[in-house]
Amino acid sequence: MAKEIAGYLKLQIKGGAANPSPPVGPALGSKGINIMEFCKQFNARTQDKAGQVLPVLVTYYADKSFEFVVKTPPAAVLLMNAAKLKKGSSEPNRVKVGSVSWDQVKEIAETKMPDLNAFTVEAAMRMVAGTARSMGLKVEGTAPWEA
Amino acid sequence: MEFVEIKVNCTPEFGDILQAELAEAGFSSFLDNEKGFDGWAEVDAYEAEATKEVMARYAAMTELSYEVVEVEKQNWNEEWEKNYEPIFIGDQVAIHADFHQLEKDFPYKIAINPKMSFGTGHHQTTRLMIQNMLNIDHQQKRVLDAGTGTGILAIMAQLLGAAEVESYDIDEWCVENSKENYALNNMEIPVHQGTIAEMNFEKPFDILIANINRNVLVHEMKDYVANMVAGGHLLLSGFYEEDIAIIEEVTAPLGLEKQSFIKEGDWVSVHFILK
Repeated sequence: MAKEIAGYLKLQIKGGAANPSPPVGPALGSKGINIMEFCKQFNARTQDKAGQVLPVLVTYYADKSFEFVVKTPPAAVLLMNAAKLKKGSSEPNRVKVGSVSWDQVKEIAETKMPDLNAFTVEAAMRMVAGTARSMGLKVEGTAPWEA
Repeated sequence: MEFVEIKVNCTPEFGDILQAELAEAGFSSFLDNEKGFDGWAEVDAYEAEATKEVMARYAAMTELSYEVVEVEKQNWNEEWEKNYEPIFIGDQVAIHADFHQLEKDFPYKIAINPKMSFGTGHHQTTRLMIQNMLNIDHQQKRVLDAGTGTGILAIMAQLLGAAEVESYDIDEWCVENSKENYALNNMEIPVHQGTIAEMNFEKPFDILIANINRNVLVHEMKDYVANMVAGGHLLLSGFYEEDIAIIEEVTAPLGLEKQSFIKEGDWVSVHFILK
């Protein structure tokens, strides 16, 4: 018989660096989940992505057991890395302090495809480009579909 | 105060963006909720000015509000700890909390009240380490438990007849918790706070046990070897079978010879001898 799902939690934690501190501690601990076990598993599974902020979707069950899926890094994090920006623009809609190329947008879109609600790379690229603009990043050049 | 918590109300499309930006201001983890998300930063890493700047910048383009509060560290694992089941390793070892009544006798009994430290026997790696320890003669040996957590493996070493056992952990809570567990088992085992590089042991050890994780083990391997006698045993765990090759890249040049490994699920415990 399938186990009874008690709920879901979406966290973002740095790879290889989960510890009993918040949010793991209060979020999982309040559900009666053994947070030390979660940390050990998460760190072993993400040790090759040490330091990267990773989204993780935790499913917890009525019997206090849990499972989790580690997703690809958020588009915003990948964009910041691509633009090599430490801080974004001080006025996102007017001052473009950083830029990314369409090739970089495509690369990020392809990385994100497994997690995005997009059927084609082009659709995923439009979503990533939208995120870039919201962050004050200029997407340089012409979109492939406009060329 | 140990942590700074930011509670952010925002639209879903700005959640990930704000989290990416706040990660640059010292926030290391986030939890989504219906209104937006909460984020946490360790006090030392938190950058108040950078946080204000990020939030002001995005407030100009989307509807958002936030507040920053201080959070004290507490035992968030308490809920699980007060209900945990005892663990048995074959007919040899029983690991139990002080509130458990054991129905039969075991050669080795370990009492553990975990208090947010790792090592209760519920995880495969703890059980694998104990199984490996059962196959090594501890009589009259000097043993070091690296990254002791609850102190469970140090207690096991003492039960197996070690002459001297020492332990350390980087985490303050683990140091306090292992002390409590040593007392609970009527043992006096020294426990230090820090990393292996910060330790200054009087004599090298015959047996060194470390259940941590692959990256830390690889990083600290040289220091483990510096604290071992020739012919000494090294027991490692906290990683998967596929990580053994990466571990061996650092152990082989240091003169550590792999003897065997045992596994449970994907997890392994590996036994080395220092030549």
